[in-house]
Amino acid sequence: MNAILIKQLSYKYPKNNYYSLLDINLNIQAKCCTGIIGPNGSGKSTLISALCGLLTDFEGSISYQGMTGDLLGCVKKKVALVPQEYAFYPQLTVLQNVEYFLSLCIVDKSRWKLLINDILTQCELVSVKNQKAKKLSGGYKRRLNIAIALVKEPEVLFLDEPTVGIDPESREVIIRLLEQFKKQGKTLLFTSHMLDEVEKICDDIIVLRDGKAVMHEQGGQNNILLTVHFSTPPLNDEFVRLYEQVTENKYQMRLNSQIELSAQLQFLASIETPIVKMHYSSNSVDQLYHLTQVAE
Amino acid sequence: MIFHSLKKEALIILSDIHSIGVLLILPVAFMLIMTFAMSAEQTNVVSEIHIKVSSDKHSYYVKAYQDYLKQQGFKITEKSDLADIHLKLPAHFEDNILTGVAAQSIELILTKNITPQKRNIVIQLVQVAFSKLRLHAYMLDSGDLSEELSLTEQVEEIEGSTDVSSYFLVQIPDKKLNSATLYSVPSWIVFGIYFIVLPISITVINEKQNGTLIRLKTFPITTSQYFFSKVSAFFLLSSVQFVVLTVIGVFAVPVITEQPTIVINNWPSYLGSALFIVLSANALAFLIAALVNSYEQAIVLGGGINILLAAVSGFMVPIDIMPPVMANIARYSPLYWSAEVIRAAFMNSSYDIVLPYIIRLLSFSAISFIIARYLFVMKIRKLVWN
Repeated sequence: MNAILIKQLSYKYPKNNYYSLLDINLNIQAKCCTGIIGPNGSGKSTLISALCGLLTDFEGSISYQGMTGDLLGCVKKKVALVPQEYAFYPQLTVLQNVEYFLSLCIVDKSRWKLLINDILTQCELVSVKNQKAKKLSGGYKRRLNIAIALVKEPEVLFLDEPTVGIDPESREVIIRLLEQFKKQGKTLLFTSHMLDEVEKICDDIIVLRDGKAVMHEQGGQNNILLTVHFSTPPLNDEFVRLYEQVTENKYQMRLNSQIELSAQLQFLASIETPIVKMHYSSNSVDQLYHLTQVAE
Repeated sequence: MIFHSLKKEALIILSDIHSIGVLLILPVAFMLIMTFAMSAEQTNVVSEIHIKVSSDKHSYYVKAYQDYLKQQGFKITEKSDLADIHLKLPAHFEDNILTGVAAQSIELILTKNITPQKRNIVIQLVQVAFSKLRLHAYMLDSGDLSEELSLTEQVEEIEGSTDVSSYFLVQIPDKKLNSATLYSVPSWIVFGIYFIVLPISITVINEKQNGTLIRLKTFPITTSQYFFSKVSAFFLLSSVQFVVLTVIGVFAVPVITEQPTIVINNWPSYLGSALFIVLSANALAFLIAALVNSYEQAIVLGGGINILLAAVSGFMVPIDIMPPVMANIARYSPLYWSAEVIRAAFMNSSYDIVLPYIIRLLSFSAISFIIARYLFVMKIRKLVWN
């Protein structure tokens, strides 16, 4: 099921004579985590602005779970934002911040206590709930930033660099939190420059470059790279047809699944040319990102 | 939502020493300073002025003139470097005293120590001393002043005969209705209330810069709802500030400055007036907050406009001594209207006097709020994820 369907989305800022987003067609899966990567100026922020209903005059269409029409209205109901900046009030305590943002939502007052406890527990903020936000460490601030988004009980969460500028331990907590959201059935969309993080959490990856969604790697397709080294070039015709020659005796093949990998291992066992070395690796986001650059 | 908004804004202001300084400490300091400065117990403006009288010869009349100058409060000196005023008497000074037309002018040279504020008083007093000298010469000439008296006795007699204070019955208003506190306290209460512009502007700028406004845009409230919850919160905070400043101004300032106490005869009317003033201050503050985009702009525009309006509204220099053009400008300032409303409540003036100011304040508030809301909505509409 798709959470967000984007069709032929293009956008040009009024002062620019070029498109910041150009003919983007994407199908963002519900209850999945989708990473948006791309260099600075590639259109990540513009894409998120459009998805959040912050841009009004774009070309094409964006619909949330089939709902068309008032995009900002849909966003207000279903989507929560976690900006990269600490978008809360540093002079207030953690609890006061959560309470204030909750007061802006249409939530029955009788549910407040339970909801606040749940959010603080989930984000591991209970121990610091009475501390002023400005006195928290970077990791706790990031978690508070996320906790505030949860008061809306959103179906979709947009996170902008949620782990930037924090220590590895806090980063792990946030990654664990995001994985938990996924299990709860929330749809996550996040931008990051940490490619390993994107690879670890995301089911789908959107690579943006010059306003175009260059690649939408879905469900880990082509994510296994099998490399085989021979002492002499293999003579098997089937092998030569299937594999790409990298160097004189080194060959590679991209596979979509473990089943395909098993089949290939059986096939390699059947060919006569002796194999010197063989290994396979996950096709990393890093490679994907750089492949995109090469492709251009 | 309004309760949490009020709680949030109150906590933000209370945790910021600069906001408290601007909203409470600064106006109270001004109340005290200006009340002291304007109190009746001012020092005699000429008591420290040294005057040197130069003449080609030290005649009887030159000595008499010096005595009359002393009687006006001046100090006589022989040293040029000590003199604030140099009075050069022409040759044959005594021959021309009674002629009515001076053959040669008396040169009155004022140094830079005589400020523009003192200049007119000093000139008048030097001329009064000369008038007494002329009377002295006339009475000697006519025989009405005995030549047998010493110069000091003659001067005393002239001083006695020109003392006209017993001819007048001066009726001054009740001090409670005409004190320095009554002038300065309303002005500086208003000044403090209008300084709400800084906390409001800075809060809005913070919310914009740290992404809170973008986040709020995706919350299930409209920009107008958010704007009015903020307005309500600051309106209540300003009202509390008004009460605190009133209590300090009415009860503490007169005691500290040893001035007559201020009596508010009609508290409901006073508090009612306070609502119009708070409304107007918040309207102006939200208008400026909607215009500015940085802390620098907030301080220059917010603080600057407030100080300028206070200056033209006669808070620093009383309107009574302003040139007519300046005094007319003051009558278009919301700070002036606000101060007049408070002053009227202190003096228990009739509604006829207050009503025009209240109508102006309400009109100003309505126009400012409409423009501020429009600008605020436009500003939020333009926000995109950066």
